[in-house]
Amino acid sequence: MSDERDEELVAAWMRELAALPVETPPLPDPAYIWWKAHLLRQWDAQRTVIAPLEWGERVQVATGLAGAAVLLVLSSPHLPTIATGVLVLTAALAAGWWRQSSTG
Amino acid sequence: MTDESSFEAFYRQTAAPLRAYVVRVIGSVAPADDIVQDAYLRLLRAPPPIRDPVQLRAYLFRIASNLIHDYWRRQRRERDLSERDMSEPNAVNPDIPLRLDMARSFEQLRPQQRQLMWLAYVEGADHREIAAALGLRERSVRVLLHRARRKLATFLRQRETGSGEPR
Repeated sequence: MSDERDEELVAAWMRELAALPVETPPLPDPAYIWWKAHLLRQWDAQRTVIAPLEWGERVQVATGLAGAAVLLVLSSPHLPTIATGVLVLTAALAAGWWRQSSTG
Repeated sequence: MTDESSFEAFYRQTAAPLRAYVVRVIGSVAPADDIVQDAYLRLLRAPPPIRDPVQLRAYLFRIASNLIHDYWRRQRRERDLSERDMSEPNAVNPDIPLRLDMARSFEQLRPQQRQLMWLAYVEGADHREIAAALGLRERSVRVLLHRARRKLATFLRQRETGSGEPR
């Protein structure tokens, strides 16, 4: 019985609340939303195509850096300590660059 | 919804009720408009394989409900700054006491209770649809809705008799 009265009271009140006009600016034009969604879909598709290329680019740069480091070591047999340092530095830079470009 | 004209028809049918739902549930207009727009963008960006407009509408409300939850999570993180913003009465004309009073009464409910009540009483959604929209179990909806209804009824009676807010 009490539940029924609650139901009636609340239903009437909710109807009244729903009927109140909400003072808001006009809704955006559907054409604008459609256009924006279209741009976002294009952007998604572009990202999907570009992602493997970007990954390949990173591998390319990393390989180049590693190769340069190896050449440096091989061409400077008298400076093994410096060469090792350069190699480590290069690896660290490459790792940092990799991380940055992954998060960015 | 594969072409612009069918989207436009769907938008014209759903945008106003969706905005009313979001505005009343979060109690603020500006973020509500962002949520509404974002809900449509998500729907169009990854369209579900749904043809039935009724189901599509339910799906749209589910997206909006998820976005509302994200909004509340962000609000909770900024709680110390935004305690007042959460109940910002922008949703109504502050110069009309009745409206303000009704909006404040609705805000006596917890956020989830507001969603439940709006979907049940304004959108006319059944327990299954509410469960789907809010990510709850159907059985839980029954219980939660009962509690929300009782709390609002208690509050409305107390307000009528002028004995203050419910606990």
